[in-house]
Amino acid sequence: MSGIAAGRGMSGIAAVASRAARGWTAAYTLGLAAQVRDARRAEIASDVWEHHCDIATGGRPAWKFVGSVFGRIVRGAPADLLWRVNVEGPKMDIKIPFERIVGGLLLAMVVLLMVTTSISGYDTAREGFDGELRRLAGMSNTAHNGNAFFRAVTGVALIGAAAALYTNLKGRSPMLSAMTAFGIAAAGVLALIAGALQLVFVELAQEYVASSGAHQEQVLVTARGFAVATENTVGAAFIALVLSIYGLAILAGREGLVPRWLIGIPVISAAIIGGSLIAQTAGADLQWWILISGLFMSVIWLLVAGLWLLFTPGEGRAPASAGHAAAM
Amino acid sequence: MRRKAGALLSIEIAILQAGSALLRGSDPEFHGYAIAREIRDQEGARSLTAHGTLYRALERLEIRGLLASRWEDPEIAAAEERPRRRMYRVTAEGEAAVQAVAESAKAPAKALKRGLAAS
Repeated sequence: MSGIAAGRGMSGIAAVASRAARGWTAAYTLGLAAQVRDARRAEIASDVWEHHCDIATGGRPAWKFVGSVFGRIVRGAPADLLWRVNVEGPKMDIKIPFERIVGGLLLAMVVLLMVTTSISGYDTAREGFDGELRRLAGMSNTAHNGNAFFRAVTGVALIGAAAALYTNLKGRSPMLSAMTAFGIAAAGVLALIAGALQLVFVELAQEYVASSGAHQEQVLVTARGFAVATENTVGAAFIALVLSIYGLAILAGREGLVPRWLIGIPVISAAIIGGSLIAQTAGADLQWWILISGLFMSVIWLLVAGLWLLFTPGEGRAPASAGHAAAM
Repeated sequence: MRRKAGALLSIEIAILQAGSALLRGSDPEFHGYAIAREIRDQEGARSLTAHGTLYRALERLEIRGLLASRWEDPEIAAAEERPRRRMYRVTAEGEAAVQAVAESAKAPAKALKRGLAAS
Protein backbone atom coordinates (compact mmCIF):
# COMPACT_ATOMS: atom_id res chain seq x y z
CA MET A 1 0.00 0.00 0.00
CA SER A 2 3.00 2.29 0.21
CA GLY A 3 3.33 3.10 -3.52
CA ILE A 4 4.99 6.41 -4.39
CA ALA A 5 6.87 8.14 -1.58
CA ALA A 6 4.72 10.96 -0.21
CA GLY A 7 7.57 13.46 0.08
CA ARG A 8 8.69 13.10 -3.55
CA GLY A 9 8.88 16.34 -5.52
CA MET A 10 8.48 18.59 -2.49
CA SER A 11 10.73 21.54 -1.67
CA GLY A 12 13.00 21.53 1.44
CA ILE A 13 10.67 22.70 4.20
CA ALA A 14 7.60 21.06 2.65
CA ALA A 15 9.48 17.75 2.62
CA VAL A 16 10.36 18.26 6.30
CA ALA A 17 6.67 18.76 7.18
CA SER A 18 5.69 15.73 5.12
CA ARG A 19 8.37 13.67 6.85
CA ALA A 20 7.17 14.90 10.25
CA ALA A 21 3.59 13.81 9.53
CA ARG A 22 4.71 10.42 8.28
CA GLY A 23 7.24 10.07 11.13
CA TRP A 24 4.57 10.74 13.75
CA THR A 25 2.26 8.24 12.07
CA ALA A 26 5.07 5.67 11.96
CA ALA A 27 5.65 6.25 15.70
CA TYR A 28 2.08 5.76 16.91
CA THR A 29 1.44 2.80 14.60
CA LEU A 30 4.66 1.04 15.66
CA GLY A 31 4.08 -2.56 16.66
CA LEU A 32 0.54 -2.81 15.22
CA ALA A 33 -0.61 -5.59 12.91
CA ALA A 34 0.87 -4.98 9.43
CA GLN A 35 -2.51 -4.50 7.74
CA VAL A 36 -3.78 -1.85 10.19
CA ARG A 37 -0.38 -0.14 10.40
CA ASP A 38 0.19 0.07 6.64
CA ALA A 39 -3.37 1.26 5.95
CA ARG A 40 -3.07 4.17 8.40
CA ARG A 41 0.43 5.10 7.16
CA ALA A 42 -0.66 4.99 3.51
CA GLU A 43 -3.74 7.09 4.24
CA ILE A 44 -1.75 9.83 5.98
CA ALA A 45 0.92 9.76 3.23
CA SER A 46 -1.83 10.25 0.64
CA ASP A 47 -3.45 13.04 2.67
CA VAL A 48 -0.15 14.95 3.00
CA TRP A 49 0.54 14.53 -0.71
CA GLU A 50 -2.91 15.82 -1.73
CA HIS A 51 -2.57 18.67 0.74
CA HIS A 52 0.74 19.71 -0.79
CA CYS A 53 -0.62 19.47 -4.34
CA ASP A 54 -3.61 21.62 -3.33
CA ILE A 55 -1.35 24.33 -1.85
CA ALA A 56 1.09 24.20 -4.79
CA THR A 57 -1.71 24.31 -7.39
CA GLY A 58 -3.24 27.33 -5.66
CA GLY A 59 0.12 29.11 -5.90
CA ARG A 60 0.29 29.51 -2.11
CA PRO A 61 3.68 29.59 -0.34
CA ALA A 62 5.26 26.42 1.05
CA TRP A 63 5.26 27.78 4.62
CA LYS A 64 1.44 27.72 4.60
CA PHE A 65 1.60 24.00 3.88
CA VAL A 66 4.21 23.52 6.61
CA GLY A 67 2.17 25.44 9.21
CA SER A 68 -1.02 23.62 8.30
CA VAL A 69 0.61 20.17 8.43
CA PHE A 70 2.25 20.78 11.81
CA GLY A 71 -1.03 22.18 13.12
CA ARG A 72 -2.90 19.09 11.96
CA ILE A 73 -0.30 16.79 13.54
CA VAL A 74 -0.38 18.54 16.91
CA ARG A 75 -4.18 18.99 17.09
CA GLY A 76 -4.77 15.42 16.02
CA ALA A 77 -2.18 13.79 18.30
CA PRO A 78 -4.62 13.03 21.19
CA ALA A 79 -7.06 11.41 18.71
CA ASP A 80 -4.18 9.42 17.18
CA LEU A 81 -3.17 8.08 20.60
CA LEU A 82 -6.78 7.25 21.49
CA TRP A 83 -7.13 5.47 18.18
CA ARG A 84 -4.02 3.42 19.00
CA VAL A 85 -5.42 2.48 22.40
CA ASN A 86 -8.75 1.50 20.81
CA VAL A 87 -7.07 -0.62 18.15
CA GLU A 88 -5.10 -2.62 20.69
CA GLY A 89 -7.48 -2.45 23.63
CA PRO A 90 -6.24 -3.48 27.08
CA LYS A 91 -3.39 -5.63 25.71
CA MET A 92 -1.53 -2.55 24.42
CA ASP A 93 2.14 -3.24 24.94
CA ILE A 94 4.73 -0.62 24.10
CA LYS A 95 8.07 -2.19 24.95
CA ILE A 96 10.33 0.29 26.70
CA PRO A 97 13.41 -1.42 28.19
CA PHE A 98 13.15 -1.70 31.98
CA GLU A 99 16.48 0.12 32.42
CA ARG A 100 15.25 3.12 30.41
CA ILE A 101 12.18 3.48 32.62
CA VAL A 102 14.30 3.39 35.79
CA GLY A 103 16.84 5.77 34.21
CA GLY A 104 14.10 8.25 33.32
CA LEU A 105 12.72 8.03 36.85
CA LEU A 106 16.14 8.68 38.37
CA LEU A 107 16.56 11.79 36.19
CA ALA A 108 13.07 12.98 37.15
CA MET A 109 14.11 12.51 40.79
CA VAL A 110 16.91 15.05 40.29
CA VAL A 111 14.39 17.76 39.46
CA LEU A 112 11.96 16.70 42.18
CA LEU A 113 14.73 16.66 44.78
CA MET A 114 15.88 20.16 43.80
CA VAL A 115 12.34 21.57 44.03
CA THR A 116 11.51 19.81 47.30
CA THR A 117 14.57 21.09 49.11
CA SER A 118 14.28 24.62 47.77
CA ILE A 119 11.83 25.86 50.47
CA SER A 120 14.31 26.85 53.09
CA GLY A 121 16.60 29.61 54.16
CA TYR A 122 14.07 31.71 56.10
CA ASP A 123 15.83 34.09 58.43
CA THR A 124 13.98 33.23 61.64
CA ALA A 125 16.34 35.26 63.89
CA ARG A 126 14.51 37.97 65.84
CA GLU A 127 16.14 40.93 64.06
CA GLY A 128 15.85 39.54 60.52
CA PHE A 129 12.38 37.99 60.63
CA ASP A 130 10.47 41.26 60.22
CA GLY A 131 12.17 41.85 56.85
CA GLU A 132 11.49 38.25 55.83
CA LEU A 133 7.75 38.64 56.51
CA ARG A 134 7.57 41.97 54.67
CA ARG A 135 9.38 40.46 51.66
CA LEU A 136 6.89 37.56 51.50
CA ALA A 137 3.88 39.87 51.98
CA GLY A 138 5.13 42.04 49.12
CA MET A 139 5.01 39.19 46.62
CA SER A 140 1.94 38.93 44.36
CA ASN A 141 -0.84 36.39 44.99
CA THR A 142 -0.16 34.95 41.54
CA ALA A 143 3.42 34.18 42.59
CA HIS A 144 2.24 32.53 45.83
CA ASN A 145 -0.46 30.48 44.11
CA GLY A 146 1.91 29.43 41.32
CA ASN A 147 4.48 28.40 43.91
CA ALA A 148 1.89 26.38 45.89
CA PHE A 149 0.66 24.65 42.72
CA PHE A 150 4.24 23.81 41.68
CA ARG A 151 4.94 22.30 45.10
CA ALA A 152 1.72 20.29 45.08
CA VAL A 153 2.64 18.88 41.66
CA THR A 154 6.13 18.02 42.95
CA GLY A 155 4.73 16.18 45.99
CA VAL A 156 2.32 14.16 43.86
CA ALA A 157 5.08 13.46 41.30
CA LEU A 158 7.36 12.12 44.07
CA ILE A 159 4.61 9.75 45.21
CA GLY A 160 4.11 8.69 41.58
CA ALA A 161 7.87 8.18 41.11
CA ALA A 162 7.93 6.03 44.27
CA ALA A 163 5.12 3.82 42.92
CA ALA A 164 6.78 3.54 39.49
CA LEU A 165 10.20 2.69 40.95
CA TYR A 166 8.69 0.05 43.24
CA THR A 167 6.73 -1.50 40.37
CA ASN A 168 9.86 -1.70 38.21
CA LEU A 169 12.37 -2.76 40.86
CA LYS A 170 10.40 -5.12 43.13
CA GLY A 171 11.34 -8.04 40.90
CA ARG A 172 15.02 -7.38 41.61
CA SER A 173 14.91 -6.77 45.34
CA PRO A 174 11.48 -6.56 47.02
CA MET A 175 12.80 -5.38 50.41
CA LEU A 176 15.19 -2.68 49.16
CA SER A 177 12.76 -1.40 46.53
CA ALA A 178 9.94 -1.22 49.10
CA MET A 179 12.16 0.72 51.56
CA THR A 180 13.34 3.07 48.82
CA ALA A 181 9.83 3.65 47.50
CA PHE A 182 8.58 4.30 51.03
CA GLY A 183 11.30 6.94 51.53
CA ILE A 184 10.44 8.70 48.27
CA ALA A 185 6.68 8.56 48.95
CA ALA A 186 7.29 9.92 52.47
CA ALA A 187 9.31 12.77 50.93
CA GLY A 188 6.36 13.42 48.59
CA VAL A 189 3.91 13.63 51.50
CA LEU A 190 6.32 15.87 53.43
CA ALA A 191 6.69 18.10 50.36
CA LEU A 192 2.90 18.48 50.24
CA ILE A 193 2.81 19.32 53.96
CA ALA A 194 5.67 21.82 53.56
CA GLY A 195 3.81 23.48 50.68
CA ALA A 196 0.66 23.81 52.82
CA LEU A 197 2.65 25.17 55.77
CA GLN A 198 4.30 27.69 53.50
CA LEU A 199 0.89 28.89 52.28
CA VAL A 200 -0.20 29.54 55.89
CA PHE A 201 3.13 31.23 56.53
CA VAL A 202 2.52 33.60 53.60
CA GLU A 203 -0.98 34.42 54.93
CA LEU A 204 0.55 35.21 58.30
CA ALA A 205 3.15 37.43 56.63
CA GLN A 206 0.36 39.41 54.97
CA GLU A 207 -1.51 39.69 58.29
CA TYR A 208 1.70 40.82 60.02
CA VAL A 209 2.18 43.69 57.59
CA ALA A 210 -1.50 44.73 57.86
CA SER A 211 -1.58 44.72 61.70
CA SER A 212 0.15 46.70 64.43
CA GLY A 213 0.92 46.73 68.14
CA ALA A 214 0.43 43.65 70.34
CA HIS A 215 -1.46 41.75 67.63
CA GLN A 216 1.46 42.20 65.24
CA GLU A 217 3.81 40.78 67.85
CA GLN A 218 1.52 37.73 68.29
CA VAL A 219 1.40 37.17 64.53
CA LEU A 220 5.19 37.39 64.40
CA VAL A 221 5.56 34.64 67.00
CA THR A 222 3.03 32.39 65.22
CA ALA A 223 4.65 33.04 61.83
CA ARG A 224 8.06 32.15 63.24
CA GLY A 225 6.58 28.87 64.43
CA PHE A 226 5.28 28.13 60.93
CA ALA A 227 8.61 29.10 59.35
CA VAL A 228 10.48 26.72 61.64
CA ALA A 229 7.90 23.96 61.00
CA THR A 230 8.25 24.47 57.22
CA GLU A 231 12.05 24.29 57.45
CA ASN A 232 11.95 21.15 59.56
CA THR A 233 9.46 19.47 57.23
CA VAL A 234 11.69 20.25 54.27
CA GLY A 235 14.65 18.94 56.26
CA ALA A 236 12.80 15.67 56.92
CA ALA A 237 11.89 15.38 53.22
CA PHE A 238 15.55 16.00 52.38
CA ILE A 239 16.70 13.21 54.70
CA ALA A 240 14.05 10.80 53.32
CA LEU A 241 15.14 11.55 49.77
CA VAL A 242 18.85 11.21 50.44
CA LEU A 243 18.31 7.88 52.25
CA SER A 244 16.19 6.71 49.31
CA ILE A 245 18.99 7.60 46.92
CA TYR A 246 21.39 5.51 49.01
CA GLY A 247 18.88 2.65 48.85
CA LEU A 248 18.62 3.02 45.08
CA ALA A 249 22.42 3.12 44.77
CA ILE A 250 22.81 -0.11 46.77
CA LEU A 251 20.05 -1.80 44.76
CA ALA A 252 21.39 -0.66 41.38
CA GLY A 253 24.98 -1.60 42.28
CA ARG A 254 24.07 -4.99 43.75
CA GLU A 255 21.89 -5.92 40.77
CA GLY A 256 24.50 -4.74 38.26
CA LEU A 257 22.17 -2.15 36.72
CA VAL A 258 24.99 0.43 36.78
CA PRO A 259 28.78 -0.06 37.06
CA ARG A 260 29.73 -1.03 40.60
CA TRP A 261 32.30 1.77 40.96
CA LEU A 262 29.41 4.25 40.92
CA ILE A 263 28.55 3.20 44.48
CA GLY A 264 31.59 5.28 45.53
CA ILE A 265 29.67 8.51 44.93
CA PRO A 266 26.85 7.87 47.44
CA VAL A 267 29.40 6.45 49.89
CA ILE A 268 31.27 9.79 49.80
CA SER A 269 27.93 11.63 50.07
CA ALA A 270 26.95 9.55 53.13
CA ALA A 271 30.35 10.18 54.72
CA ILE A 272 30.02 13.94 54.22
CA ILE A 273 26.41 14.23 55.48
CA GLY A 274 26.84 11.69 58.28
CA GLY A 275 30.14 13.22 59.40
CA SER A 276 28.75 16.73 59.54
CA LEU A 277 25.66 15.62 61.50
CA ILE A 278 27.85 13.75 64.01
CA ALA A 279 30.09 16.82 64.32
CA GLN A 280 27.01 18.95 65.03
CA THR A 281 25.85 16.54 67.73
CA ALA A 282 29.28 16.85 69.29
CA GLY A 283 28.77 20.62 69.52
CA ALA A 284 30.50 21.80 66.34
CA ASP A 285 28.90 24.50 64.18
CA LEU A 286 27.08 22.89 61.27
CA GLN A 287 28.36 24.34 58.03
CA TRP A 288 25.53 24.36 55.46
CA TRP A 289 27.88 24.13 52.51
CA ILE A 290 29.10 20.76 53.79
CA LEU A 291 25.53 19.40 53.85
CA ILE A 292 24.89 20.88 50.41
CA SER A 293 28.02 19.23 49.01
CA GLY A 294 26.79 15.88 50.43
CA LEU A 295 23.44 16.41 48.73
CA PHE A 296 25.24 17.44 45.55
CA MET A 297 27.11 14.11 45.51
CA SER A 298 23.85 12.15 45.74
CA VAL A 299 22.40 14.26 42.90
CA ILE A 300 25.53 13.43 40.86
CA TRP A 301 24.83 9.73 41.42
CA LEU A 302 21.21 10.15 40.29
CA LEU A 303 22.38 11.98 37.16
CA VAL A 304 25.14 9.54 36.20
CA ALA A 305 23.08 6.43 37.00
CA GLY A 306 20.01 7.86 35.25
CA LEU A 307 21.93 8.72 32.08
CA TRP A 308 23.75 5.37 32.17
CA LEU A 309 20.49 3.40 32.34
CA LEU A 310 18.81 5.61 29.76
CA PHE A 311 21.52 5.34 27.12
CA THR A 312 22.90 1.84 27.69
CA PRO A 313 19.80 -0.27 28.30
CA GLY A 314 20.04 -4.05 28.43
CA GLU A 315 23.82 -4.45 28.33
CA GLY A 316 23.91 -7.95 29.72
CA ARG A 317 22.41 -7.07 33.07
CA ALA A 318 20.71 -9.98 34.75
CA PRO A 319 19.13 -9.82 38.19
CA ALA A 320 21.51 -11.03 40.91
CA SER A 321 18.82 -13.44 42.01
CA ALA A 322 18.71 -14.96 38.50
CA GLY A 323 22.50 -15.36 38.61
CA HIS A 324 22.29 -17.18 41.92
CA ALA A 325 19.57 -19.45 40.61
CA ALA A 326 21.68 -20.29 37.56
CA ALA A 327 24.70 -21.03 39.76
CA MET A 328 22.65 -23.48 41.77
CA MET B 1 -18.79 13.41 28.78
CA ARG B 2 -20.06 10.20 27.15
CA ARG B 3 -22.21 10.58 24.05
CA LYS B 4 -25.60 8.87 23.70
CA ALA B 5 -25.55 5.54 21.86
CA GLY B 6 -26.21 6.09 18.17
CA ALA B 7 -25.72 9.86 18.37
CA LEU B 8 -23.33 11.42 15.88
CA LEU B 9 -20.49 13.74 16.85
CA SER B 10 -20.26 17.12 15.13
CA ILE B 11 -17.20 16.00 13.11
CA GLU B 12 -19.11 12.91 11.95
CA ILE B 13 -22.11 15.02 10.89
CA ALA B 14 -19.76 17.41 9.08
CA ILE B 15 -18.13 14.50 7.21
CA LEU B 16 -21.49 13.04 6.17
CA GLN B 17 -22.86 16.42 5.08
CA ALA B 18 -19.69 17.22 3.11
CA GLY B 19 -19.69 13.71 1.63
CA SER B 20 -23.36 14.07 0.62
CA ALA B 21 -22.61 17.42 -0.99
CA LEU B 22 -19.81 15.78 -2.98
CA LEU B 23 -22.13 12.89 -3.85
CA ARG B 24 -24.66 15.33 -5.34
CA GLY B 25 -21.83 17.00 -7.27
CA SER B 26 -19.39 15.36 -9.63
CA ASP B 27 -17.45 13.30 -7.04
CA PRO B 28 -19.42 10.41 -5.60
CA GLU B 29 -16.21 9.22 -3.94
CA PHE B 30 -13.77 11.27 -1.94
CA HIS B 31 -10.42 10.77 -0.22
CA GLY B 32 -9.49 11.99 3.26
CA TYR B 33 -7.92 15.28 2.24
CA ALA B 34 -10.82 16.13 -0.11
CA ILE B 35 -13.32 15.77 2.72
CA ALA B 36 -11.14 17.85 5.09
CA ARG B 37 -11.03 20.63 2.48
CA GLU B 38 -14.78 20.39 1.84
CA ILE B 39 -15.54 20.68 5.57
CA ARG B 40 -13.22 23.69 5.86
CA ASP B 41 -14.92 25.40 2.91
CA GLN B 42 -18.46 24.60 4.08
CA GLU B 43 -17.81 25.83 7.61
CA GLY B 44 -15.69 28.79 6.52
CA ALA B 45 -12.97 27.58 8.91
CA ARG B 46 -9.38 28.73 8.68
CA SER B 47 -7.75 25.37 9.29
CA LEU B 48 -8.25 21.83 8.06
CA THR B 49 -9.48 19.07 10.36
CA ALA B 50 -6.53 17.42 12.11
CA HIS B 51 -5.35 14.08 10.75
CA GLY B 52 -6.10 12.15 13.94
CA THR B 53 -9.59 13.59 14.35
CA LEU B 54 -10.50 13.11 10.69
CA TYR B 55 -9.34 9.52 10.17
CA ARG B 56 -10.66 8.35 13.52
CA ALA B 57 -14.09 9.76 12.63
CA LEU B 58 -13.96 8.22 9.13
CA GLU B 59 -13.20 4.84 10.69
CA ARG B 60 -16.10 5.14 13.17
CA LEU B 61 -18.50 6.05 10.36
CA GLU B 62 -17.35 3.12 8.28
CA ILE B 63 -17.80 0.72 11.20
CA ARG B 64 -21.37 2.04 11.64
CA GLY B 65 -22.06 1.48 7.93
CA LEU B 66 -22.61 5.17 7.18
CA LEU B 67 -19.53 5.26 4.92
CA ALA B 68 -17.89 2.62 2.72
CA SER B 69 -14.31 2.69 1.47
CA ARG B 70 -11.99 1.00 -1.01
CA TRP B 71 -8.33 1.40 -1.92
CA GLU B 72 -7.96 2.65 -5.47
CA ASP B 73 -6.24 0.63 -8.18
CA PRO B 74 -2.46 0.88 -7.58
CA GLU B 75 -1.87 1.30 -11.31
CA ILE B 76 -3.84 4.56 -11.36
CA ALA B 77 -1.74 5.93 -8.49
CA ALA B 78 1.47 4.77 -10.17
CA ALA B 79 0.45 6.34 -13.49
CA GLU B 80 -0.19 9.66 -11.74
CA GLU B 81 3.01 9.31 -9.66
CA ARG B 82 1.34 9.84 -6.31
CA PRO B 83 0.51 7.73 -3.24
CA ARG B 84 -2.53 5.51 -3.44
CA ARG B 85 -5.82 6.98 -2.25
CA ARG B 86 -8.41 5.42 -0.01
CA MET B 87 -11.75 6.41 -1.51
CA TYR B 88 -14.85 6.85 0.65
CA ARG B 89 -18.51 7.22 -0.27
CA VAL B 90 -21.60 7.93 1.79
CA THR B 91 -23.87 4.87 1.95
CA ALA B 92 -27.68 4.92 1.83
CA GLU B 93 -27.67 4.66 5.65
CA GLY B 94 -25.29 7.62 5.75
CA GLU B 95 -27.64 9.64 3.53
CA ALA B 96 -30.54 8.76 5.84
CA ALA B 97 -28.51 9.87 8.84
CA VAL B 98 -27.77 13.23 7.16
CA GLN B 99 -31.51 13.64 6.46
CA ALA B 100 -32.36 12.81 10.07
CA VAL B 101 -29.87 15.39 11.34
CA ALA B 102 -31.32 18.02 8.98
CA GLU B 103 -34.87 17.22 10.15
CA SER B 104 -33.97 17.40 13.83
CA ALA B 105 -32.25 20.76 13.23
CA LYS B 106 -35.45 22.10 11.65
CA ALA B 107 -37.73 20.80 14.43
CA PRO B 108 -36.83 23.39 17.14
CA ALA B 109 -37.21 26.21 14.62
CA LYS B 110 -40.71 24.96 13.66
CA ALA B 111 -41.68 24.64 17.34
CA LEU B 112 -40.48 28.18 17.96
CA LYS B 113 -42.53 29.49 15.02
CA ARG B 114 -45.63 27.65 16.31
CA GLY B 115 -45.10 29.10 19.77
CA LEU B 116 -44.72 32.64 18.42
CA ALA B 117 -47.88 32.24 16.28
CA ALA B 118 -49.91 31.02 19.28
CA SER B 119 -48.85 33.91 21.56
